[in-house]
Parts: sequence; C-alpha cells; structure tokens
Amino acid sequence: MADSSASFYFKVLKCRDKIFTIGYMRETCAPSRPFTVRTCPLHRDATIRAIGLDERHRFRMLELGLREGSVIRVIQRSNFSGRVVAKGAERIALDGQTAASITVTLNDSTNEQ
Amino acid sequence: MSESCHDDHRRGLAVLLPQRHADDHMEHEQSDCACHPGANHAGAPSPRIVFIGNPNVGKSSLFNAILGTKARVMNAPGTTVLLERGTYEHDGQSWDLVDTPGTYSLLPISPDEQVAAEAVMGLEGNPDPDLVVATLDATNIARSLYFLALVLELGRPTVVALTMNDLAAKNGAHVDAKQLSRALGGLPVVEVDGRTGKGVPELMDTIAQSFHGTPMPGGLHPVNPHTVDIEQWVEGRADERFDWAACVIADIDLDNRDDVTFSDRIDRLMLNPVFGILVFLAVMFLVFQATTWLAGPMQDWIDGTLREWITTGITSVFALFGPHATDSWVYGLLVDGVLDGVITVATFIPPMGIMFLCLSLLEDSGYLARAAFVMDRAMRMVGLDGRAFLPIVIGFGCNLPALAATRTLPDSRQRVLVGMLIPFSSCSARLSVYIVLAYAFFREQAGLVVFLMYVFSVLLILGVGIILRKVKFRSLAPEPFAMSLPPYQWPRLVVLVRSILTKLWGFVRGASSIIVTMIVFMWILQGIPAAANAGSFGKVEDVHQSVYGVVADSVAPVFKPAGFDNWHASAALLTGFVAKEVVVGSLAQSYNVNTGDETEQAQGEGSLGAALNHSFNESSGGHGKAAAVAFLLFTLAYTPCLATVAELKRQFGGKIAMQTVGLGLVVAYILAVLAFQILRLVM
Repeated sequence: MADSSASFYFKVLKCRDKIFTIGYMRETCAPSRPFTVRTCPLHRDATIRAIGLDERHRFRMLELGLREGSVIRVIQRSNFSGRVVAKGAERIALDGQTAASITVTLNDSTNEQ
Repeated sequence: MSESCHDDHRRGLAVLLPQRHADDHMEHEQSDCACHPGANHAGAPSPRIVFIGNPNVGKSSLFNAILGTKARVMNAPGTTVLLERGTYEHDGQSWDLVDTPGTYSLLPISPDEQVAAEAVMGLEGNPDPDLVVATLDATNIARSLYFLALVLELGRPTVVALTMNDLAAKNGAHVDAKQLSRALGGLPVVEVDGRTGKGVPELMDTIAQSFHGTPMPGGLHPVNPHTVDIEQWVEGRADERFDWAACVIADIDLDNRDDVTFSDRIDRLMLNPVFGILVFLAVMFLVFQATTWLAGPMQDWIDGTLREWITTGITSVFALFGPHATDSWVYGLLVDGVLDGVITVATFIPPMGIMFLCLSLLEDSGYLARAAFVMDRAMRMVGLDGRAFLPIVIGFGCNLPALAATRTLPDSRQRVLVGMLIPFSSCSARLSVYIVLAYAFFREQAGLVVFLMYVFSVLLILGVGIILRKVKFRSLAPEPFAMSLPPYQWPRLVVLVRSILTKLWGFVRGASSIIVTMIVFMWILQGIPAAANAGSFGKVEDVHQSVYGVVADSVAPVFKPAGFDNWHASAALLTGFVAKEVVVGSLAQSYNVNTGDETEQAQGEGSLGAALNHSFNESSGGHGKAAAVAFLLFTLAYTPCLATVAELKRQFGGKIAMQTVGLGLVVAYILAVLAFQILRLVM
C-alpha cells in the first residue's frame, strides 16, 4: 500500500536476568494520510472520514456506530482481510471488502498497546 | 458533551406516554385503552408485550427465562421468520409475550429485521403492542441507546431490560440501572440476566406497573408509525439520536473505555487468519463427532433394547387375552406400526439433544458470531452466511440436527436456502446403501465409489445452491459483513438444560405426529393383501402381494430411463422415504435373502449382491453397473427420511417442506437418468 511505509525499531527485552535486543519492522505512516480500515495499522486511534458503501449499507454502518467523525481502532486482522474494529468497548467485525470501503485518518495522539 | 446537549436531554422529562396513539384509524384500539389493559377483564384480549433489541444481547435467553417451556416457536404470518410467543400469567392476568428477531434498526434490510420492526410498530397486520420491552446491552451501551431512542419515539409504554451488565462490570463499565433510569427521565430500567433468571420477577412487576404509560425522555420526538414515512423518520434524525445517546452516557458517567479485554485476548487466537480457521474446523469436527459418534450408541440402545422391552411389555399384555392374541392385526399395528413410529422419533432425540446442546454452547459462549466471521468469505462464494457451514457439515452426520442448526442463521432466506440444501448432505444412514451396492457392483473399486458419493454430495450442494440462489433466492445478494461481536462468557448449566429440554420437546411435539402417522400408513399398505392367496389383513407374508407391492410395481416403470425398472428397487426407495437405514433391509426382504448379522460389505459380496446384480442387469438390458450408479445417485439426492420432512415442515411450513421434497425427487431423477444414459455407453 502506497500510504504506508515500514520502519525498523529496536526493543529491549529482559528475560531470566538476560537482556535481549530485538529489531522489528512496523508499518508507520504520517498521521494525516488517509487509510482504509483494511490498511490501517493495528492499535492506532483513527477517525472515520468516509464510508464508501451504498446509502442503505452506509446508514447501517452508522447505526452500528461507524459514522464519519467516529474514533475507532483496528484491533485484529482476520482471514481474507477481515478486520475487528474497537469503538469504545464495542467490537465490530468487518469483512475485507467492507473494511476497504471505510476511509480513516490516524489521530495524532495514538495510544500504542 | 456540551451543556446544551445536557439541557436538551433533560428537558421534557417525565412526560407520560399514552398507551395508544389517538389516531382515527385506531379507534377500535382506543376502546381497549379505556380500561387498564392489565385488568384482562372477560372478553378483553391479553395485553401484547413485544421484546425487541439488537442481536446477541441476551434477549432470547431472557424470554426463555420468563416463559420456559411455555414459549412456542412459530413462523411470523406469511413468512419463514421465526418468532417466539407465549402466554405469561401475572397476578391472575395473562399477557401475550412476543420475542422478535434481533435487529440493529427499525429500518430493516432483511426479512427478519422487517418482522421485528413491524411487530414493534404494529404494522402489516400486527396489533399495536401494549408495552415494549427494549433489551439494552450494557457492553454496547451507545448502540443500544441509539436503538432505544428509535423504540421510544414510537410512543409505546416501554420498559428497559438491561442485560450483560456482569460482563460490562468486568470491563470496568458497569451501568447503574437506577442512574440510567434517572438519565432516561424516569423510564423503568431493570437489570436482568436471562442465563440465571436474575431480575426477571422485578422485570415482570415493572411491566405490570407500566401499562398505563412510561416517561418519554427529553430530546426525543414521538412519531406515529402508522402515518410517518419510516425511512425518512429513521434516517432523518439518526445523528440526533446518537447525540442523545452520548448525552445519556455522559449523564451516567460511563467510562466507555476501549481497553484490551479478555475477549480481545481470546480473539487473537480465535480470529487469527490461520489459527482461526483451524479452531473453527476443530469445533466443527467436535460437533460432528458429538452428533454422530456420541449419539450412535444411544440411538442403537433405543432402537434395540428399548424397542425389545416395550415389545415384550405389549406381548405380555396381549398374552392376557389368550395364546393367539398376538396373531391379531391389532398387535401387528401396535408393534410394527405405532411402536415403530414412536421408536423412530425416539432415536432422533439423542442427536437432536446433542445438537441443541452444542448450539447453545456455541451461541451462549459468543463463539458462533466469530464462526460466522471466520467462514464469511468462504461461504459468501455460494451466497451464504458464514454460519451456514455448521448445518451443512452436521448434515453429513444426520440431516435432522443439521436442520435444527439452521436456527443460528439470522436471515430467514438463508435459513430456508440452507434447509433446502441440507437433504443433499449425504447423511450416515445412506452409507449402508452405498457400501452394499458398491461391493455388489464394483468390488475392487468399492472404496472409491463410496468416496465419490461424498464428493458428489458436496458438488450437489454447491450446484443446487447456486441454482436456487439464481432462481428462488434472487434477493439474497451478498451483503457487507458488519457484525457486533459479543464478549465471551460461560454458559449457565441450568439455562442450558432448560433450553435443550424446551427445544427437544418442541421437536418431539412437532415431528412425532407426522412420523408416526406415515409409518402406520406404510404398515397399513403392507398389511392389505392385493391377491387372493396373499393372506389376511396384517398378515401378508410376501410384501409384493400387498397393496404396497402394487404401488411399488406401478412406480417401477418410472425408473426405466434410469435402468432400474424393477419392483425391488422401487419398493426399497419407497421404504427409504421413511428412513434410509431400512433400504438395505427392504431390498433383502424383497429378494427373500436372509442377511442375518452380515456386514454391509458381506451383504454386497454375498447373496444379496448377487440378487441385485441379476435384477439390475435384467432391468437395464445388461448395464447393471450403470443402473447401480443411477440408483446410488437417486438414493443420495432424494428425500433423506420422513423425520427430515417433518422437521422441514415444523421449521419452514408445509409449502417449503413440499418444495424441498419435490426438489430432491426432481434432482435425483434427472441425475439418475443422466448417469444411466451416459454410463451405459461405457459400462
């Protein structure tokens, strides 16, 4: 995905009094760049900007609490690009195509987990 | 939330809702309104109480906790959507309770949601509810409040049943019912737990006190569902309802946190792209094994030992009337007709009970919603919900519990489509026919033939499914999958047992009359002599000389294009309509072959196989193998058993049951004829 880039991070772990340093890749992005729920990195607060579904299903998303301006967080990737989105205490499962139709932008103050 | 929001929200508190709308077209209803509906005086209809709420919020558990075995599952008028109803007695008054399918909105996008919306709005022939019980999920409070706002705007007396509060508390978001009631302007709110029955007496007392009207919280505007444009009303003020819900949440100081929960941790495995599928397949395997391997010995015990005990009992009673009393046709009718029917019903109780147990465990624990998500994409290819995988898999064990499992599908069109496909799942009862014919005609490749029958069964389900979708279920377009995932929770034993017993009783009550009647009818056909020297009524030694034999003879020519135009085959297929387990026995009986305790393989390789070879070769003009394949395919595709038909009728109504039987017969016949006509060129 062109919107995201990968960065290399180091993490220091302590296990049985031994110190390990591990490096790992993680998707990063500029906060203002648009993503879809499908491409959005995990565990990052994001604001819904648009829902690209027909009117009937867009309204159903709204009734589920997924509406423009709502803050969500993608917490789980599943098979066939499905995603689980957290909105407050609620958990909403979306199939890959629906997840790709919801445009979000990452918030500045992201709580990492 | 802004101050103005709070002001708007609080304004207009404690406005009592009238019990009815005062519109002209509802004058007939107004006459009921003059008296207290709870009074239930002579001639007055029982107050109608409609339960409504989002899916997976514990509404049905609550309903069953209230009504128990008094709940009756039925189709909503003119639809295949299931509704639960029942009469509840409270202080000498009877109330008519209606449980509706879960819905996220009163603007429906499926037939099930439409039934729920119409029931609560009193549209399309539904009477206006005297009171609405709105179930509010404490773990999904914002969305639940949005839906509550819709319900409240209908202007009916409403009581809120607050569910899942124990789970919300675990997540640090406990909702105080009294505080919520205050925030809702005094609207009655009762915390309930359908799994334990906690709060149910309080809920019923609150309902009794609320028929006269309940307060309308400020910020909401009542409408009359009989006159308003529903779409405009629901869509037009959605943002205001969400704002209202946000105000209520702010008022009750609810910390709607998104901390990582216990369920999130489990979901990391359950919904993992790889492990999620493996877990799902493992769960399916366990359910399949439970309904077949675990139920098998219990079914054998009922069919063998219990049948013997009861037969001995009946024989002892008849012996009191003289040494020849057991020779009478009444004895035959009781033992070979009525008892056979009762035992047939009883043998289905173990797999059905185990299936109901598995379904309750999967549903109550919250896993079924995950299963739907995990399998969504795969099942979407054939236009079905992810949950459709479960009944179809179970169908390969036994079609009857598979039909029971269609209840987990939220869309009635999907339920009917899957219900019509399940009979094409090759159940274990058909296996005995496959083995005998495979060893009789294809000794060296018998294993391959049996395996191919299962492959063909899968292809048949896919093929017929695609055709049905294009012909009968055109409105089943692929929908975006967006589903709220309920938190995981432990099922409660008492509720589980109660739920299973209720469903089992529903099955026995609904299916037994058809099964027993049809088996008695078959016995009568076999008992009526059709030739001068055939014997007396109930004492026909050669079944070919009974009316049943005449029917089999008259049906046989129909199968000429399929190569098995002989009465032995048609009689076996007629018997197979009752149960596939008896097809082999019927063939052996018609050929007058004593198979004793021989295995299916030995029967196929022995004298029964030889008799089959002779008669199929004769009827097919020397193409016995092609005729055998045609017979196998017919056995695979036509009606699996009478119990399945009874269950189809119970769940979807007589019309769908007949359509399914017709579909099976047509598909089976076309397949058999095609197979024979093609294969006879090479076999």
